[in-house]
Amino acid sequence: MSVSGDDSGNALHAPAALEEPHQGDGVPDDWQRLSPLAVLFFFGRMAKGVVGNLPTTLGTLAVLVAFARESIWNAIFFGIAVMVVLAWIAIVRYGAFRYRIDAQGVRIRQGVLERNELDLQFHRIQSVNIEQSLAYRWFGLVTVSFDTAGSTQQEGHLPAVTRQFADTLRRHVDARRSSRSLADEDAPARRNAALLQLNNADMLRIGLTDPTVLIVLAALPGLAQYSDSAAMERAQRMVDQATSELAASEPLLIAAFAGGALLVVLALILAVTTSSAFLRFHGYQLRLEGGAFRSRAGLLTRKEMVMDTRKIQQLRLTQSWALRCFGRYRLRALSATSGQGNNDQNNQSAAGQVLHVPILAPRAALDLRDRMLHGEGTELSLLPRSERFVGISARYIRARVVAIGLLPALIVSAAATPLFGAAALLGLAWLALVAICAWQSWRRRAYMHDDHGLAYRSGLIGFKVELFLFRKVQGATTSQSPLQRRHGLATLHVHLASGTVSIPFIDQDAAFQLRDYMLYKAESSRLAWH
Amino acid sequence: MFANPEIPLESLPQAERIDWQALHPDFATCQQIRRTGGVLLLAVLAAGIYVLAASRGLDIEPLVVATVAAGAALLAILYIVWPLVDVPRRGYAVRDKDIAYRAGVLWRTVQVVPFNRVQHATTKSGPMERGIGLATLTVFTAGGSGGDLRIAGLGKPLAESLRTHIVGKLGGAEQPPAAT
Repeated sequence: MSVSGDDSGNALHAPAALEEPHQGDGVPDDWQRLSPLAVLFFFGRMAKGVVGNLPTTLGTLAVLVAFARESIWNAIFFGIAVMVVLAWIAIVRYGAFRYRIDAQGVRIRQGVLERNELDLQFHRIQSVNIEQSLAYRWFGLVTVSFDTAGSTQQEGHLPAVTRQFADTLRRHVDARRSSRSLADEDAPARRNAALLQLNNADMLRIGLTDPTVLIVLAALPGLAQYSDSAAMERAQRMVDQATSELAASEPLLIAAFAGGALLVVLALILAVTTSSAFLRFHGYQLRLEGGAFRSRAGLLTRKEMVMDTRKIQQLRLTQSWALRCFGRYRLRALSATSGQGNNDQNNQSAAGQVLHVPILAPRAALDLRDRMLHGEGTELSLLPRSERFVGISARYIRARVVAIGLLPALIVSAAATPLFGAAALLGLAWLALVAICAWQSWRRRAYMHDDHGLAYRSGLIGFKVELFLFRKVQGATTSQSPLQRRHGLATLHVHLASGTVSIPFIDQDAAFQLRDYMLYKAESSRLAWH
Repeated sequence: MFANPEIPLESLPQAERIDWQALHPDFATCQQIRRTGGVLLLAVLAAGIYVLAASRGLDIEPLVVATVAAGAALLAILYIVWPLVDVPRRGYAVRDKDIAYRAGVLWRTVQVVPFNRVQHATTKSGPMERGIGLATLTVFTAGGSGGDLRIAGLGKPLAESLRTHIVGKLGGAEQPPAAT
């Protein structure tokens, strides 16, 4: 199989295992089968679908528990039966899968009960992503996924194809993209330059700053309380015994024992999160090749992700309190979402593609901003502590306290007074909490803009900065409550293809002018927004 | 705030100076009929629940019942009358490069969508809207429902011609407008 009309000279050749088309079932000769190992891909997707779907997961677990109560063998047989059914469906889906590559693009036929044909034309393919699981690595195979313009199309996958085939396909798409890229004049100079590489110390930082640590620590008391398994009971008895022995000897030892136990739990959690960081981000590299960012990472399953710079709609920089301790940030480049009405099972497509940089230093963040925005918006600070950010009105605090704090607190206190008496007034403590949060949130919220774009900072404990170019704007809305009108304030909602950014309680003249200016830029820009 | 003097903010077209077009005069009536139907349905349901509860021995003070009923009736009247206040505040405008819509009495919004960002546009008429000759125009942009613009209460022929006009603008050559 080859592609004619490839002006770059990159002829596409099917992997050797796929050279011989399947015959005898009415399928045209040029329609190709996948490697039989693609069954693993279909099986994995279905298993993920079952686990990811709450009703099916709960239903399966309920049946499993019911069987296990009768006999453990029943549960094992049930588990095996489920696996066999999934494997059978995977084989059937593999049997129904065909693909074809011609001069126009990639066509995929799939489905058993509901047949569908996906036509991915080369000029619409924005990037070719490659993923290599551990099983495929042993056989030198990869899974290729195609990302299409605007993400409004279904994504296609070609599982279990050779690495050589995937690379050739990618080069072919890259060559097409480079030839029509308007703003990539210096691409050859930058091609193959590694922009960012993460080392083992970074993996450790990612593990230490994983929000899961906090969530698990917060959930520990609850888990311990509700856990009634025999193992937990035994552990509880051991702890009780040790505590009683210690109590008889020395109070200081009790404290040391408790502290030691907490440290062990913390160490275990950190070990899990750090291992997870190594699994996901080991060998992370970010490159700029032919006008597209290409990230590659993973210890067992290696994922390669490509995002065309023109597809980037918005940059989102975040810094949690833990990342702040290390002076590091996390960056996401967001592309267009596919919007409503897309019933594609691939959630990544529905949510929009995201280029994820798990950890980076301030200087690297600024460098990536310049490259991702192609020199536009260089006056905008991606770092949250810039003094050029302009704060929002302090009346935001009052509005928040009234809407979220005062009204609910009064209603709850009034309703609870007959039952709990004066104790119901403790509900007013909510008011104090909301006031503190509103004040802190107000301190964080600020924005800045230049001729090309806008940056908006928000957050509560950490920081979040969202940055976008005016020419990417899809629409804009200004809204005003009675309180805002009285004080000459407004909220500006900027609709982007990656979502909406709302800037509350800014001067109404500024909000109106910004809205009109960004619309002017969107309407007059000659550059494509995606 | 606007530290960069190169931005000609004052010279840009301003949405506040738009000559807003009113919605169809029958739209408020259509809204009132729909709301009245909803209120009557709720009233019947509430009365049914009350009669059922009373027949099973639930004793509620008549004064409480009367107070709740009076309060609900007052809210229902306000709800039914509200379109007379709300609909005149709504308006739309079709400009050369974009379409704008304003709404709201207490909470006021102005939404603008450039034509060169429109993905597609649809018109929709429910049974009641069809009876009165109204339609809803929805302009879809990329990125989900957040940026979509929806104008209810247009005359059906007008909605259709607006949709055709907007679709005709899709993919048109982009020329920078002269800032006036």
